[in-house]
This record gives sequence, C-alpha cells and structure tokens, in this order.
Amino acid sequence: MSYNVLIVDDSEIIRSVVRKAIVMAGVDTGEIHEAADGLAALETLKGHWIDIVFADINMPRMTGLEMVTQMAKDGLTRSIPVIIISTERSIARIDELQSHGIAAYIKKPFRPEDIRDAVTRVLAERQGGAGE
Amino acid sequence: MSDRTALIDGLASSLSRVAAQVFEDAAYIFTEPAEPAEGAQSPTTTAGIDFHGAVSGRIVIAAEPEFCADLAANMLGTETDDPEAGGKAKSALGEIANIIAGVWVADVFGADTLCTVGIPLVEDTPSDGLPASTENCRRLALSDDQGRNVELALCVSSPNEA
Repeated sequence: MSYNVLIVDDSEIIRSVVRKAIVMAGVDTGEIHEAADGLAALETLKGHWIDIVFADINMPRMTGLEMVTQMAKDGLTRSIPVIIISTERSIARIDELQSHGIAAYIKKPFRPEDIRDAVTRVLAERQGGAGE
Repeated sequence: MSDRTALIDGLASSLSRVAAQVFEDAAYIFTEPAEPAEGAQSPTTTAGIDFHGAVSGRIVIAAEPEFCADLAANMLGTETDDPEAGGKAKSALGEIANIIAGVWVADVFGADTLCTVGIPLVEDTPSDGLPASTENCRRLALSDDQGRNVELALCVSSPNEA
C-alpha cells in the first residue's frame, strides 16, 4: 500500500528536506503534496486523499496548532495522523499539541532517521488500530 | 559590569554556542567563534527573527550568498552547483535562523518557559545588514573551515524584565 503525504511548512527548503527524508526512509509513497501554511494545507486536504501529514507549528496565516484543531473538527480529516516537525521546545506547547491528538513530535534539526522512525511507528499504530 | 551587561553578554555567549551546534547538526558545517566584521561592505543575505518571552528581542544572521548556497546544498544533501540548492539558498538561511532561535530560547529560558519565536524575514542587503554593537546589541561571528564568516547580532529590547 502506498501512502499519500502532505508536507506543511512555510520553509521551502524544509519541505524539500522532509520530502527527501521520507523517500530515503523507504516509505511507500504515492502522491506527495506540499503546503506553505495551515490554511493551504486544509485546502489540500479538501481536494486530496491524504494518509499522513507532516507539519510545522510556526507558520503565517494559520499555525500548525490551529490546523490540527481544524482537522479535529472535521470527520474526514480527524483520523489523519499528523507528525509535527518544529523548533518548539516548550513543554506546555508540546503538551497542548499532544492533547489535540498529534501522532508524533520531531524536533528540528532532525535526522532522516527521525522521520523514518516516526513514520514507521505511526503507520504501525494505524495498521494495528485498523485491525482492532 | 552591570547586571544588564552581564545578562546580554551571557545571552550572546549562549547564542554563539547554539548557532555553532545548529550549523553542525542541520548542515554539517563546522564553525569556530571569530571576530565580527562590523561595517563590511559586501553583498549579504540576512535573516532576522524576533523572540518574545521573559526577555524580548531580535536575532539577525548574515552570510554571503555563496555560503547560503553551500548551506542549502548541505541541508538538501546535494552539490552546491545543483540548481535546487541555488534556488533555496535564502530559504536555507531563514530556516537556520528559525532553528537557532528555537533552540536558543529553550537553552536560555528553559523548556518550562513560554517564549514565542517569530517567522524569519530574509532579505538581501548591499552591506552586512546587521545592527551595530550597542548597549543592547551584541555582534558575534562564526567562521567555517573555509574561513568564511557568518555574522550574528543579538539585540535585546527588554533585558530588565528578565
């Protein structure tokens, strides 16, 4: 099974780095979409089937936290796993994100292995959950 | 030395250490502290980012365009002459500024303290484009293994609230 991925970051280079890391991680990817902020990401989610989202927190127009909150309100996007990739170190903010159900949190700067490990774990949990 | 001077000097020292570590971790660029070149008149790309918390202010990082292209290439895991790296040189400096600011605020204020980091503003300037050293600003520099300088400025607007 291949997975459609959405990468959300206002940094063009980070979108490219994450895209490369996902491919290097050996994830069986289908379509890979990119969005520069949370608002653009929600638009992409309306028009495409997405299996997993990678998102920054600190973005213009709509932050990653606001995006996750909006996704949780929509039955079509509520169950899509979101992996946050951010420089944020605040325990309170990370706790807040986790309370909104994010699937994983990766701190920048990250190694490709961090992406691989998070994707492997999230997809395994998803498949395990589907079988329950 | 006043408490305020000691505070800003301490913040600047931490910024120098964090910046060197981020260049190494994010882009495999190894640097050492260097003498700032204030008033340099060569074309430069600058990335400025604001932070707000117990102490508020701004961090600015400046580097020559060729360094930014190398930075992008290293972050992407490609060669400097790769067109993709050249096209993302400014984005690379902005992202490095973002990572440095995020790691630095946690380093100096702690993960238990809420501190907001802004969105990096990247621009090209005809000179070094950084604020000069003043009572509330410190200039720093890092030099890579090719002798190229990355200049940094830390300006604190509310040191007395710390």
